[in-house]
Amino acid sequence: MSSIQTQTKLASVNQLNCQGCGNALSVLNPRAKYIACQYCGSVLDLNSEEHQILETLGKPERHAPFSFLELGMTGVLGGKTHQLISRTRWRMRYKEFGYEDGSAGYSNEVWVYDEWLMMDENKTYKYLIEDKTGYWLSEEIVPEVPMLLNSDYRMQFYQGEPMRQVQEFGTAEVIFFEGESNYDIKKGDSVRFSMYRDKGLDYSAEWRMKDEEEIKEIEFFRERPISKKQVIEAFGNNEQVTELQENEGFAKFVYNMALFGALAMLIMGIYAIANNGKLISSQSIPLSSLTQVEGVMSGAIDIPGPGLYKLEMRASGIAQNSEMYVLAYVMDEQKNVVNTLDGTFSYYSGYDSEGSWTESSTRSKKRFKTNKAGKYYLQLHGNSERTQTGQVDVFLRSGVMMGRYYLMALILFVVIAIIFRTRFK
Amino acid sequence: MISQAFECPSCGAPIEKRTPGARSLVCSYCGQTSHLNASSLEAAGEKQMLIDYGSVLKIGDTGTFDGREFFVLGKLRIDYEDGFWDEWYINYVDNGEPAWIQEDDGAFTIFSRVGEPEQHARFENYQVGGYAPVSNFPDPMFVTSKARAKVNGGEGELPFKIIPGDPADFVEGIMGGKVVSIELLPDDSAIFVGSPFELSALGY
Repeated sequence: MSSIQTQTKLASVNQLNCQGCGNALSVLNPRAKYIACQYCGSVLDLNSEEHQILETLGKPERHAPFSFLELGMTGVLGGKTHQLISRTRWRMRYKEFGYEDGSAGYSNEVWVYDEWLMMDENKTYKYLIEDKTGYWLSEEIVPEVPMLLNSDYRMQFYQGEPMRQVQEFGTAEVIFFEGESNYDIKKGDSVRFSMYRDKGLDYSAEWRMKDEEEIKEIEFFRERPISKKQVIEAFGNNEQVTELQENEGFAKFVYNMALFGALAMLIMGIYAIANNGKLISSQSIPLSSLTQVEGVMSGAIDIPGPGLYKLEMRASGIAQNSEMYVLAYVMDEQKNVVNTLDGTFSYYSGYDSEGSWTESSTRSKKRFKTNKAGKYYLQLHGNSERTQTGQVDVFLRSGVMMGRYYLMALILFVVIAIIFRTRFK
Repeated sequence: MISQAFECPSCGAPIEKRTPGARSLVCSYCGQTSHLNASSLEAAGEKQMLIDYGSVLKIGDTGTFDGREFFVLGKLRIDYEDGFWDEWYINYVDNGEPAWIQEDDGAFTIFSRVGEPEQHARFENYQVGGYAPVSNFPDPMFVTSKARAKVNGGEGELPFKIIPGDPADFVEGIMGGKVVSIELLPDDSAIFVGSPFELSALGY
């Protein structure tokens, strides 16, 4: 007797021309019953002599693959050479578990994904799942405790325990397919499914209905994610691998630059908050004088050049249980108002059940920009119910920095770093 | 292994019987299935040559599974509405224990016969998604599929009488992490329990 020998090549290829468009098609598995033309969407019956068209699926370009993968590509995954022999596009209408406004529940979702069928040299099948976000390898499993979706939406068929929350359940429908199939498949075929997640893997129960009442078949699957890098290394040609490496290198560069930028912005932001600027003018004005209709005009303030300045008013000596509204106009040499600053200064005190209390407001400040150097003036007006005691000190500082802009830039750099961190391993 | 030589009742070609338990022999030249009655062969049903779709297994080959050497004696092909699958009939060399390797689209499961279904077990009574008792086992199986099927044909020798075209309805399920297959053949209904395996486990 001879020993069992492994086959070393993929199945011999059977060539035929599509009855719909005339393009050459390859059938890799001699068991195939149907082939859907990737050029025109015609589904051919391989068991009929003329390869008659069973249905037309519509324009394939409307259902193009999500990435570089194409029918017929070969690649090495898990040490075995696989060839992509078919692709089925499924549209899921399902409920997805999540949290919103602090409460848990299911929301209605629609999602589209491709199921690539890979055949190795021994005609063993594996499934590669692809959607807009990534790739998963799917394998059929024999669960320890088989079960379907139940009323408490918790499952654990693989090991029996601990029970896990069902993350998704609903229906998946075939909306397009290309390549060969050993089984009856047509547009509109559907399966019902429920999926839970355990230790980073997705576990799905899928069941096909014979009719509305009776289940025809139940299968259980486990899906594990694989990276785009692994898929490209398996199926991509050299150019694509080089492109991936270049993209990863670029992502790494942007990530490092964004981290550096974020650190710089953090330092600058702290410095901006701590830095009070250089005092270029300080004036004290009695509050009692501010009630005059024409207000009080300060002396000339020399502003050395265009830039960012900080104007600040500080009140002191306000009479108890009183308040005063102060409005300051910033005027240029021609007495045009170029900016304003106002503040309500108060001092209240009293007693309540918890003892004595005081409440005061004594500061008001503002940053403003000027475009030219020159002499500037402040005209202050006040409004109080009674004649005020105390004074208001007005300070003008140069060399101030806008701390909030550094903070915004810091957030931007952190977001860029997070985005680009996901693009390389 | 002691073999016994026969002649195909249809074409006269030599046919070899290798195990005492053989009940059907299929002529590799003309595809005639014959039943063993006493010590003679009697043709049964139409001639049927199985289409070779390619497989690593071949009648007459030896291999190992789980460290035990086996030889491949026969093949049974079952057709159903979604396609077909093959059942390879093997015997372990060490003690002659029979087993079956199911090959379905490159997926392999090794089965051992564990008993017969209850007398009252009927195809119609099994409900996919429900539980069904399995003879000699305390726990029921979870039924995952069932289908009307028929014998496409065989090759080599098989331990029961088959006729191409005969019904071969089946019910499949899961019990304690194992696959259960109940095959309802006219001559010999049986329950099989098995586990899927990777082809590399065949140890060739």
